[in-house]
Amino acid sequence: MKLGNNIRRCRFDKDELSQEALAEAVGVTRQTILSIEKGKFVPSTFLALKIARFFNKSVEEIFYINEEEELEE
Amino acid sequence: METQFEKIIKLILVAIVALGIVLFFLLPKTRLAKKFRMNEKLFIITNIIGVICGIVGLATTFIFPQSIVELHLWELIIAPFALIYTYWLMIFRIRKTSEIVDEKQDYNMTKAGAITMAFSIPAMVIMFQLYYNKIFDGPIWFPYYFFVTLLLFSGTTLFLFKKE
Repeated sequence: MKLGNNIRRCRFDKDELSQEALAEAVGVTRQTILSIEKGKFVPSTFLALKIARFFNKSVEEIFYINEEEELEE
Repeated sequence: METQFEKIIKLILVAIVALGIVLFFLLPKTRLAKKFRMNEKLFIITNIIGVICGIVGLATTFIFPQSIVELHLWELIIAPFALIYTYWLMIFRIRKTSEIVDEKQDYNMTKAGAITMAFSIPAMVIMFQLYYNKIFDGPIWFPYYFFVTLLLFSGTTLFLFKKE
């Protein structure tokens, strides 16, 4: 079971915002945003809320459980 | 008897320690303090320096096993890492918080710490064998242990930070 996310899409919807700008806005490094986008790193609830707040969306709109991978397992 | 070379090394070490202490207490009080912050580059540079110091230290331990302790070479080798870590301590002091790295860096360092602990045991078994077979003697086990853990910790942190 993996945590999927729409951060990449949200960034592009927001004037093609760079990973660096998002990282700066939520107070983490660019590498952390990159790892979250790729699904390699699961953010804390606090960071997930900060990212969701930045995009004016709910956490569920940004993050979701990857059902396909869950079925594969 | 103290050699000229040993005196020079001791002088350099005293100068580095004095510089570190002066910077630690004075710099946070200057205007430069606002510019002190942890970022991705500093985190990567710290770990690269850790890897370089670890490799140089281990090589020196095996090439000059007597001199590394007697001439204080191991202290000289860790000086760059100690100075960059002093910078970290200054950031701790200025920000008045222990949370200067982000959660992924924190997670990677924790994982690297566990891996380092696991691998330092077989590394010390090797050193025990070298002592047991009389290949090494004296206090070089300490610089060996220090550089092994520094290399493992910095290298693993850097790897996990980039790959995970």
